[in-house]
Amino acid sequence: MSIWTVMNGVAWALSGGLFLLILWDFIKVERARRADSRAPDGAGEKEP
Amino acid sequence: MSQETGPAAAPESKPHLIKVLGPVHIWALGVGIVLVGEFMGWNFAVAKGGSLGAIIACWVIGLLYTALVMVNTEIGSVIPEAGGQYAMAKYLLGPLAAFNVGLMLVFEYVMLEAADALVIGELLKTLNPAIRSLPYVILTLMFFTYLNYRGVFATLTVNFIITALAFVTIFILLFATRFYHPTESLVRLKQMTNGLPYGLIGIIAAFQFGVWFFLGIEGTALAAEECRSIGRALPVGALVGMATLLVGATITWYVCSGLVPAAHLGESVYPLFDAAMATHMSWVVAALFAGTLLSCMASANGCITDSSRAWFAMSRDTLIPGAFAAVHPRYKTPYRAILFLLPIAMVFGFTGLLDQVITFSIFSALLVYLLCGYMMFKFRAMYPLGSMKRGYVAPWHPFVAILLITLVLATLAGMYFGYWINLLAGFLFYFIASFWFTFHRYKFVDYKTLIKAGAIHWPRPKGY
Repeated sequence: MSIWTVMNGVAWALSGGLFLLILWDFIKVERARRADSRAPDGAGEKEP
Repeated sequence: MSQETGPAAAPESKPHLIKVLGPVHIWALGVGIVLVGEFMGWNFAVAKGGSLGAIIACWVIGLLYTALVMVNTEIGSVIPEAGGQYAMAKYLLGPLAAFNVGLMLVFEYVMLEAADALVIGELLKTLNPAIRSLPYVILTLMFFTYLNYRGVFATLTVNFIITALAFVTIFILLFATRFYHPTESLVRLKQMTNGLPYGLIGIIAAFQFGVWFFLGIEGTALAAEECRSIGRALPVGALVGMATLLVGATITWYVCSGLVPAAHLGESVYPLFDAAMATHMSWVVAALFAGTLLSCMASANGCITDSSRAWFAMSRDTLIPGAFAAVHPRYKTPYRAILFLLPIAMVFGFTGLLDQVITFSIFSALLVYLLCGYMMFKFRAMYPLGSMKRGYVAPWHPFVAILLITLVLATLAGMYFGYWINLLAGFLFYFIASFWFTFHRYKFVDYKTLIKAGAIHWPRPKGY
């Protein structure tokens, strides 16, 4: 297996890792947003 | 009028982006998107109009873009909102034109982003046959999407560094040719160039490829909302960026035309890289390889920033569903707009149709420029000089706007020679989009939300 083939695998792995990082944060933010919008005062998430 | 709820539908809770950018970031955004056009694409102008036709097209199109930057900077300096030309259109032309301008901007940048990622993959493939382009195309899009997701300051600081490095490589090539030495110079313009083989018609046909030298510089206005001082950052960043590109374009033409025979230059995929190969200096070849790669990265990065701002602004103004108007609570970025456009760029990237993707991007951009020229007339009529404080006043009105409109029409005419079917398909696409907006989406548009920021800060327009 050449170094270039390994690099292809590394590129796939990095892409997957970045995708998971974004997805993890996105889900976290969306959950917080939904929880805020269900808060008793009904104010929703405060935008800056 | 509004039948929707959500962030964009409630004017009181209108989300805003964080103000952290200075002139350097605006320069990096504009030049970063464009610089790739000096490393590839512009040279097809040589095939259409000859060596002389290419440099004439470069300077004439440079005039078009200088006029565009002047128009955009004057109008943009009083609109501290994301969306650039889209934001201008909503105040000066109304919702339907604004929707179209927004859509054109999104397609211009998303398609350019896809093309950049494709080129990065293809370029890396030239290193070794075992390298596959797809993982690198995906990695490029993922990495810059992640960077944009995390914050605009870091994104454009990175863009400044990679754009500056890519720009320096053009100077490395220039000085490696020893152009200043009468006997040792590698630049042989007399032997390599072919003048003006097709006359005036060749020059007009070359216009569409001269656009590559500057396409995207208008994107500086899209980050207006995130500027610390819009009256300073936008004019300084955009005008210095334009001057940088004019210098870069002229040097690029000079070294490429002096090192590569015109017949080969007109068909080259990577003209600056081929020019570096002609020097037979391995370190120059390595520098230009890196420069080509970095310019593609800077362009893809800037395109993600600009397309997401246009999409975000349209959503916030209720022209498209309000879901995309959300701002990340921590990073203060339009994160939903950024993520929504990622798969669209990937789909265009997977098609592999680089020339079609780029042609649609250029066509969309030219339509925006045409409307910008018209908007300048409307802006000066609605808000004459002295009626409101401007960060910048474009001189010689109305000649600048007339020049802009004339040159855009000439470029569209040149494009018609080679890509008439693409032009027709493009018009049809925007016609269908307008049809959808008028008969379906328009009932959801909240007009008060749409023009709220302008209505607060601007005086009543003359005649209204």
